[in-house]
Amino acid sequence: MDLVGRARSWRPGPLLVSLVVGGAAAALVLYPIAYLIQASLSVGDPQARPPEAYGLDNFTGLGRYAHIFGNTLMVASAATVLAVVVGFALAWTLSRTNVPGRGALEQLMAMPYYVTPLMGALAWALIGSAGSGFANQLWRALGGRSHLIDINTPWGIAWVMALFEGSVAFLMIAAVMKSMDPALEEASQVLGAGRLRTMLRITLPLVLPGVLGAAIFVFAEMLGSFSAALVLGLPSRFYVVTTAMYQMVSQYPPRFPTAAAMGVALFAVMFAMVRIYRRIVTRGTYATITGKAFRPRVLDVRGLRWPLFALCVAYLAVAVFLPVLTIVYASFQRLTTLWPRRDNFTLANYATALSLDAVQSALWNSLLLGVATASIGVPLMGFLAWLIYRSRLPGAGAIEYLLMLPQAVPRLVFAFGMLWAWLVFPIPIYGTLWLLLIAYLTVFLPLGLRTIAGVILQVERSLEESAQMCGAGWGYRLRTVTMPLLRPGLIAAWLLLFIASVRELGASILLMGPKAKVLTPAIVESWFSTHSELTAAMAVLQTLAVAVALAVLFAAARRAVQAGAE
Amino acid sequence: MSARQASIEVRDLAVHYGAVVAVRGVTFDVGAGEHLTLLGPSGCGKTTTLRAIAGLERPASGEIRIGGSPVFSSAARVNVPAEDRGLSMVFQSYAIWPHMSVFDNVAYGLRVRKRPDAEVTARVREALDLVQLGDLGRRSAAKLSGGQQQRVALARAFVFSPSVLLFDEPLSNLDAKLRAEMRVELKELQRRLGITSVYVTHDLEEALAISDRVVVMRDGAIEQVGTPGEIYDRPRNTFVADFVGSANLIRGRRRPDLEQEGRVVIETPSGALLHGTALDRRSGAEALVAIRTVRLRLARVPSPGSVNVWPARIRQRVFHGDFTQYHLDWDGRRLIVRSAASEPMAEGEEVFVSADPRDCVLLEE
Repeated sequence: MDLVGRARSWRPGPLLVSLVVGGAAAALVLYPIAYLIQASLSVGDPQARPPEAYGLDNFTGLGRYAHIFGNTLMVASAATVLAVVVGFALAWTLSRTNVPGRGALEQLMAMPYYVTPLMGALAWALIGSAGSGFANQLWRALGGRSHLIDINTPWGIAWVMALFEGSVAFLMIAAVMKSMDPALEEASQVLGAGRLRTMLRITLPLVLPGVLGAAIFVFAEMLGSFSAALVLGLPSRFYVVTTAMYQMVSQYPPRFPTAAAMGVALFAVMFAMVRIYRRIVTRGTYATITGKAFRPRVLDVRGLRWPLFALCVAYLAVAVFLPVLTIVYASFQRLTTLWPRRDNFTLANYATALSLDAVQSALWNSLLLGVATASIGVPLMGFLAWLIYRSRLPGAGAIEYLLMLPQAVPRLVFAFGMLWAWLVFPIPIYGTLWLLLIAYLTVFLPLGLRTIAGVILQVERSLEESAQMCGAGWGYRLRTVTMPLLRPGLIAAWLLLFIASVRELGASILLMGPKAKVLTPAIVESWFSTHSELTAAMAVLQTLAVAVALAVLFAAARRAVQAGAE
Repeated sequence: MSARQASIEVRDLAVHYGAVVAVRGVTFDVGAGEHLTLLGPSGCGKTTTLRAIAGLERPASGEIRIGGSPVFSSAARVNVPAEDRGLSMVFQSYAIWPHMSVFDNVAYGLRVRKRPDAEVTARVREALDLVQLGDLGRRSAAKLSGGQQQRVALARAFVFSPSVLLFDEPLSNLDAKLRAEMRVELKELQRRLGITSVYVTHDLEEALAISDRVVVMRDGAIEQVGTPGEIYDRPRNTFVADFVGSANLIRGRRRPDLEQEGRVVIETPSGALLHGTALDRRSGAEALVAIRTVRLRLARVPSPGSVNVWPARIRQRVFHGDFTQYHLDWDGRRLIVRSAASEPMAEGEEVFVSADPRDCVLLEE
């Protein structure tokens, strides 16, 4: 055999490709952040670009906005406590007790994620506004005075945030509880410790780091969250950092440097939070908690079974069923009211929504962007994940770190950086869908990478190596072995990116141009400028559009899988 | 199936994982058509060496030649990608692709080489027959038992007539009984195919059973190279003596006055004389001699030989089924004897233990 002929010298090819792609992705992340920091240091004319003078005045001047930072901390803290308490209670109930319908309830717990905080905020505004909220209408009908609840308060915002982050906390804490070897508790009991002692001395210390990690993660998310605070806080002029930034940028004249300084400050705090979170998760405290999933020991809670069941159902009711029913109900009314009247029902809202050019084009743009983001994102992020976790590229850790950075930046803040960065970019993409596409691909890097990495790590390396040993080059390998094995995971990643893009608000609201609108910001605009019934109809249409797109995709994917199997 | 045999030469091979040195300057040859085994405890660098030959691991330095051509050379800056080396490999995890049928798994290497369909079909059939899976071709690979997966992996590895076949602990995931069966089958298959092979295992019996030569490794370096017989009967040092089956190690002072050509005689601290084989090995005034536990013989009356017959007392007897292990009080220390004799000695019995001087091997230290 002629090995000499084929014996190439050390190939720089893969290394070069990796460096270029890794570098490009890093630039995608760092370029906007650099502009964000530049803007925050601009002390000359706030409108001038590039800045006329640099200084720290914007940061020292943040003292004037102490109340906004205070608001943010207060809302985020309250919401975190509530979300973690709810998440812990649900996780314990569903993974460690014999509550009825455990399996089904556990599946349903992911639903709040699909409802989204925006939908929740719109629905809860209809339910809980002081004047005409459904709950307060009911309260007055029962003879109550004034109002029972007022959702347009810090507590209302925290309530809505907590409902949606509660399901995130649940998923994180349940994962920890399931990965604990039940033998650790059984050993304690065999040695004579009672149930309570075992719980306090063994179970709690083991799951505590996981719960703490979840709390910090959720807190960081709350600090950067935007939609609930916007929908519920704006009417009562209650601002958190993200909504204040949005206000400063969208008012006239805009106050870019101050907004940028706020963004940098928020970024710094969230960055620290994510660092702490990672530290907790990667530290040795998990030594006893292996990656293996165990069948957890189920505790017989006897009389508490039905109360705990009621707790789970109540959570789903306030986080999912009630909001969805409210929005759907409102979308069919002429004037939103709790009491059904035949002459109040109408399909006009849908007719209006579908006939408005703005809504039509926004819906179309959103779906187009969703498909584009997912279709470009999956191969791009798949390649990046492969580079990081499989190629043993030198510096893979650093690339991973950079690419996960958007996780620590609220999307609105990130979009602010992009706004500045791409305004000066020589190719005129500002105000077009292209800018939104780039923004989505950047802000969803962590989401996509984490999802795809999970899939890639499940596929054993030797499956690829054995193809290599059969003589297959990397392209052939990728086509015949790697891609087919990854396909189910990649389809899931595609769907996730699609859904996330179609419903993105924080980045879109800053970056969309007047001639290239997308649906979620259009829904928010409609909420503040037209009537709530039309907004409800738009929200339902968005949900339906996503559902239809997913159904089509599932059908296509199933056919592809079946075709592949034959 | 025709065999294309190639020799392998490994020179000063070193592999690093970051700061960890996994293989430190290893040199050995595999002759064309030879079956060589790399044997050693986990972490000794045997799998890393194999993967370096395969091209799945990039060595830090050294040279690997296959069939005379360099596939890796740090000096000449050559590194042929794994897929172009013309080798094949059976993985520890089998690495059977679950999304393909058995037939497609086996046909993979032939299709990569763009063989015509008729040839692919014929050769896959032949290969599946050879591993006794003739009728399973259409089955999905995800629905195979461990032993069947093993056979598919094997067929997939040799079907395209590679010049060298590499085995990375291929039997370690099978249960003991199946492992013993597969060992025999594997040996039979190797002989029929006649492909040069390098086999990695930590299982001594496996290594002795299927190899022409064995390389014993520890901590990334070679401890001994030899035929299975040489490795077993003439371990070079305490590590090999210990790792390759159980041995009694006896230390004593050299008695050159009693030694003849090729022989070594040592005197234990309590005065027993032990005659052994020197094998051209050197030692100081103190020397260590190894005797396999199965090479010691027990008797109730002293055997007629003139040397290496000592009185001892049986302290403990442990029945193992295939043999009985006796723990003897001998010369102020413990001596272990494995005996297949059907008539057991009783605990506490006074006996005579003897050894052929050829079975008592001087060790290097």
